[in-house]
Amino acid sequence: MFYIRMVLRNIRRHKYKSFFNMMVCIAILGFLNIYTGNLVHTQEQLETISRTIPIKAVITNAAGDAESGLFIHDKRVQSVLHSSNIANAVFTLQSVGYINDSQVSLMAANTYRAFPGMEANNFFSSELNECLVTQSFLDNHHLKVGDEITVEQYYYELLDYIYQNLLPLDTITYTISGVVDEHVDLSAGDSLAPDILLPLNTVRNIYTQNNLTFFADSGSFTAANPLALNQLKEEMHEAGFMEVNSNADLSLDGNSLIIQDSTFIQTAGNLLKGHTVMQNCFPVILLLPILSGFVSSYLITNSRQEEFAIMRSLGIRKSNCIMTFLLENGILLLLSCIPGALPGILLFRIGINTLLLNAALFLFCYLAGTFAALIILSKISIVEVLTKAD
Amino acid sequence: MNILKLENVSYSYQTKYQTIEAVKHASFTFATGKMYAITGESGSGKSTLLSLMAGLDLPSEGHIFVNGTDMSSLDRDQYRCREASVIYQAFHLFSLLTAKENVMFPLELRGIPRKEASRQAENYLQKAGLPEKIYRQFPPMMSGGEQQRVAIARAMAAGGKILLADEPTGNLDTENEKKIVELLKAFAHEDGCAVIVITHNPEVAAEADKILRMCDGILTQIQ
Repeated sequence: MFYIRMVLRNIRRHKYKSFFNMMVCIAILGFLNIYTGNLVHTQEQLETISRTIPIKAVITNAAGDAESGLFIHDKRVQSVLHSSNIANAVFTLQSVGYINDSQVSLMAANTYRAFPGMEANNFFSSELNECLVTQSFLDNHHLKVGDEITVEQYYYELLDYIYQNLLPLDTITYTISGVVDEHVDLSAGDSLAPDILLPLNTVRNIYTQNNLTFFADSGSFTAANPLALNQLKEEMHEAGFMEVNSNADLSLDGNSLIIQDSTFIQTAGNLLKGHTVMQNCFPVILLLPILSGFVSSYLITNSRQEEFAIMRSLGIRKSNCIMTFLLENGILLLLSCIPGALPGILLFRIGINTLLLNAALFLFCYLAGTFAALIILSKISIVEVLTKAD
Repeated sequence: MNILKLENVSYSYQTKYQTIEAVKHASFTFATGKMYAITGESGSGKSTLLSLMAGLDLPSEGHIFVNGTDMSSLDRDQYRCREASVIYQAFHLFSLLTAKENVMFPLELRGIPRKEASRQAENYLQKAGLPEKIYRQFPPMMSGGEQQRVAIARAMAAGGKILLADEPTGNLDTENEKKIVELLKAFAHEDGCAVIVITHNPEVAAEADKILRMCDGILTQIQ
């Protein structure tokens, strides 16, 4: 109890030295928290970079100059749709049809994402014979939601990779299950706005029923995990996709991929480089509290040599003197932990676990420096100090 | 009663160029209830001898016995805490403690409760002839004489039977010098302590019951 009281009294009475000590501690701990906050922040950025900088891929022809009006073989479509490395795959297929000799344009899609502005819905994952139509289509044909329409549907056949032949597919009756909002952009890409929207699976089933191979005419997707980009590329290569070759012959076969990964690779590369440098420098950064703990404690305790010598001459053991000085510093360090945590919290919102870990590391390192300074102090000649001023 | 016995005590230390023999074969027995003065020129080994008697260092040769026990086998921190007190020419009080807190320090160190330590400290300060207004003052605010009295009160509070004083009046004027010497004499004669004063002041030495002289490390009794 005596020693605790002495320590608290010393902190109070040596107020300028205590203040100086605390300021040094706050500055170093603040720096340490900013440093680790930055490190954690970079780590988080690396983990969330796939969301912030998504890698988009577009299926094109071999030359890479066409992204729609292609023939993307069903085998490739299914490879993309079932890949765990891919997210948000979008496939469409346009065709024409006739209702009572009147031509209508049709578009099948596997997701509402094919149409910018459309609200999320499950319509496009259906396999039922249902459709969405535009308001003008309803008006022109004097129809309403819930009515049925019978469409004489056509499909495009690819000849010699570059020619298209329009052939009848089937005559299908669809139920009108809704109207597309006016603000939805139906003319995605360079296509004309369709009159009727269909679920891709429904159309695919019609192809199968007519013993025809299904083809989508445009496709795109994003990488589910950009950090596993090489894995995705390998999988797509196995699925039959090739890299774009600008010298390739004119073709409508959708067999190539343009992966827009340059921004991601540059950003991720920079982040990873910075993160690695900061992580490798961390042990060196820890030297800072050790050195400053040593230097500031050495300067402060050196100015208290006389006090140390008096304590020793009054019979206080060397170990108790060291413990007293250490405890004094320890309390000041603990008090510094609160303001020292603020920069990290305010700038990087670092979590309590990181703050506690930093505080523990800082305490340990700083006190190690203080301990070294006290060991040097304890080797002074008491007689020399006490007779020096005589 | 004999309390401190020097038996053929020598102390030497090594400098860069030579070995210095600061104390040579000193033998003497100090008893309680008496005041001793050790005189001698500067560098004669007086302060070295005092630090040996204070247990701040051990002799290179010979033995120092405290109540019949060899100091080398004693816990010297405990010895300074309970048996021997030292006062210095430069007073060496804790500058950030008040006069009373300085005197309370050895009492609390010995485990005396704070309230009781405070009461005893006031008694010792009163005994040292210090007015009450001094109790709450910090050493830098006091005169040299007042500081030395606080140092003596602190030594009294330590409760030991040996008081070692290294030039206790060296920084004081004649009037304060006399007061301090009286206090030290009272400490020896009334409180039954062995007071050993290192001084080169013949007037202070003349007040002692026995005078010893250090010359080139050799200790001799001259009175």
